[in-house]
Amino acid sequence: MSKVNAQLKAKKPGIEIIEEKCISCGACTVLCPTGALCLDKNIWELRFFAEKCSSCLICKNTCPLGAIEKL
Amino acid sequence: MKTFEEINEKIKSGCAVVLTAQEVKELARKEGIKEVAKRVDVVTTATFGAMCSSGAFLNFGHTDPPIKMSKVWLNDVPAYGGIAAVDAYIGATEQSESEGMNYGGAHVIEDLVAGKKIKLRAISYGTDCYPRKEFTGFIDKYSINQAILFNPRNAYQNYNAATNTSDKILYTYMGVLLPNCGNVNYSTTGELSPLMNDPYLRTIGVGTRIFLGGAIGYVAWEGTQHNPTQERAESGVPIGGGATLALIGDLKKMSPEFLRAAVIKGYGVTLYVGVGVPIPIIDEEMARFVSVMDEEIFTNILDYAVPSRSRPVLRRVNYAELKSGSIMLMGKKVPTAPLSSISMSLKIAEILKNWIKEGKFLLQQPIQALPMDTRLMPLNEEKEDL
Ligand code: SF4
Ligand code: SF4
Repeated sequence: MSKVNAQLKAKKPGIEIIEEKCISCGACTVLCPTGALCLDKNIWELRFFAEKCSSCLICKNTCPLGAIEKL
Repeated sequence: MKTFEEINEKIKSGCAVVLTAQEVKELARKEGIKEVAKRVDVVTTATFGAMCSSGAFLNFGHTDPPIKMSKVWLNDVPAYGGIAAVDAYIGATEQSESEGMNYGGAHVIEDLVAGKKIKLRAISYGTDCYPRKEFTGFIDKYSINQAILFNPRNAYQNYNAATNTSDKILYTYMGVLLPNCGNVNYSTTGELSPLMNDPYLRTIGVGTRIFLGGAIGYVAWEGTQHNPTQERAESGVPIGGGATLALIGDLKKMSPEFLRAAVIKGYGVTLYVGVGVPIPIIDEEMARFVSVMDEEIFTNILDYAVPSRSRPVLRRVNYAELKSGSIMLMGKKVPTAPLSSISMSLKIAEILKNWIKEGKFLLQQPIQALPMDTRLMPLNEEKEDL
């Protein structure tokens, strides 16, 4: 992938977290290949760093709570 | 030494000192266990995790003419109808006959709690006293007589962590396990979890009043696969699966926030259940138990690539390491995930603390202790004698 495309993708994440459905179980954080998902250790809630997301949809396809939607 | 009655008197007068498990660890770290024993009356512990061994007894009421339902479906999910005429048990992991793994018993339970309409279909062979042979209609939690959540095995005291040494991705009840030890999943809230804070079940037994799914529930019995004779660490907490609880409560009063259906990819449907247990600090020993830290609680990381009842242990680890977000395994740094929701557990512990502080929730002394000598038995194949 060219650097330009990487930049373009970085600006438009492929997913959105539905906060009311997410329980912050962390299951997606260990599967995300780019480190775009992480559990905040102070409050144990999920954080999504959209700029890192490569839109691979691994998280969307595996979230047990159906809390991730494709944009 | 304090009795349950004395603590309840303090709760009624608004003078009880109630801390969450997180707060009591902080106090123990700063001031020591003696101070915890002196100052604290109750500690609220909680967990919010996938608890497959869950389900609900429902009584639909009698039709006219009456039917003795022998096979029952709720939104196309089979429920067990072999109990009397219009009672059924809907198990959390049962799957829909039309949607398979995408919708199951846990979803029926969540939808019921949320007040949604559920399609009920039932068939029968017909008898002189129950002549009707089929029924199709809609129910919801307001239209049925009882909806009793009865979970045969919840609140595992501790549980092993999981990884995968194979070169294939594995879809397990411990979540997706990436090849070559790509991740480690664990499934408890560690030092916050109820039975970690009372390792020998000194204050928890039959009749203990608890927070269950957002309402008041009770410990009904020991849970299935209750295994209190498991090896223990110095803290007293078992290493891997130990005690379990069978829990009961009024489903109609619960909240969909604390009972959530989930689909674990490639494995199936399960129910996330919120459980909160108050632990009375009746003496210094209980103060020591509730002061237990993640560093002192251990579990084994098992290799789920081995399809055996006794999976190999790759290493022993404590919960402080697991909760740090990564551990060293087979010479490399591997990311870890809790699967249980620590943030929801913190919320439940806080809610239960407020119920007690407001005098809405009194402690119930167990009417019978749970067994401490049972062992886990395997199921072996035995050939029938010819
Ligand atoms: S897997 Fe789903 S529920 Fe769990 S933290 Fe990720 S988005 Fe939230
Ligand atoms: S879509 Fe892929 S890269 Fe983006 S957050 Fe999900 S797993 Fe990570």
